[in-house]
Parts: sequence; C-alpha cells; structure tokens
Amino acid sequence: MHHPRVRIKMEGLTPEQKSQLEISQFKQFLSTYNQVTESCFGDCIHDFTTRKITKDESECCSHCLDKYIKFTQRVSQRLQEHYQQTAATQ
Amino acid sequence: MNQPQAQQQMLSDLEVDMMTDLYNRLSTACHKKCIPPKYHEGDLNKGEAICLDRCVAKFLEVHDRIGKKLTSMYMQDEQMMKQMQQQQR
Repeated sequence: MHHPRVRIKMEGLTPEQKSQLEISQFKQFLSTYNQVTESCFGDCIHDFTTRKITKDESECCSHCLDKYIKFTQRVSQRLQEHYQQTAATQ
Repeated sequence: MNQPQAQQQMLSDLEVDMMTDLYNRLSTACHKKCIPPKYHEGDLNKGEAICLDRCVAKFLEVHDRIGKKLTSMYMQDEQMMKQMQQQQR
C-alpha cells in the first residue's frame, strides 16, 4: 500500500519527479487493491448457491481487509526499523 | 539532464523499484505463512503478530545472506575472467 522508503524520499524533488512518484504510488495502490480483492475473495467466498454475498462472507471480507491493513502497517513499520538500523550501522 | 545526473536518476529509480519489489514479495510470503485464511476477527492476534515480526526479520536476513553470497560469487567470477584474459595474452 505504501512503501516506507518512498515516503522519506518525497522531499527535495522536482515537480516532474514528484508526479512520477505519485503515479508509481498510485499504481502500487491499484495493484494492492486488486491483490486484496483476490486474496479475500479466495479466502472468504465459498457459497455459490446464491448470487448475494452472505452475512458470513461479508463479515469475513471485512475482517480480511481490516487484518490486511494492520498487516501492512506492521510490515512497513518493521521494514522501516530495519532500514534505519542498516543506515545507522553504515 | 546531463550524463552523470541521468545515471544517478536511473540508479535511484532502480533502487526504488527493487525495494518495492522486495516489499511486495515479502508481504506475499509473510501473509501466506502467518495469516490463516480464517477471518473471525479483523485484528492481528498475538500469534500472528509474533509470526509476522519473525517472518519479516528472517526474510530480510535471508535477503542479506543471499546478497552477500551472490556478490562473492560474482567477484570470484570476475577474478577468474581477468586471470583467463591475462593468461591468453
């Protein structure tokens, strides 16, 4: 969803570089969007006897997304800590 | 843009691309390994959180180790090539 290093690099860029970065971040967002949809659909939707999304499926999907967001936040935080550590030792 | 600047730009673009790719791969791998496909709640439970921390740390360590190994293999190759070229003269 967001990349720790990319956020830091935002400052001191030309407008052209900035818009390029924004485009690539948007691309990353779109691809994440599709990935989450695919993953939550795969894990939550099993019942094809009805056209409607069932209550269980809907709950599962919403938990799946919530969890994915928390997952992403934690991974980003750990990665950022790692980069800060390696930057400090260099 | 002059030559060194363009090269610098290309290198930093490459770095960002590499890191984004690494992040995506790490995410996919650790999601698969740590988050069971049963969503009773929207929070990460303790076991998942601990698994995730270890998974990220391990993934990065493997990445470092393989990087070092590949670099040393590459360097050996380079040296071999140089030696062979010298012998041919």
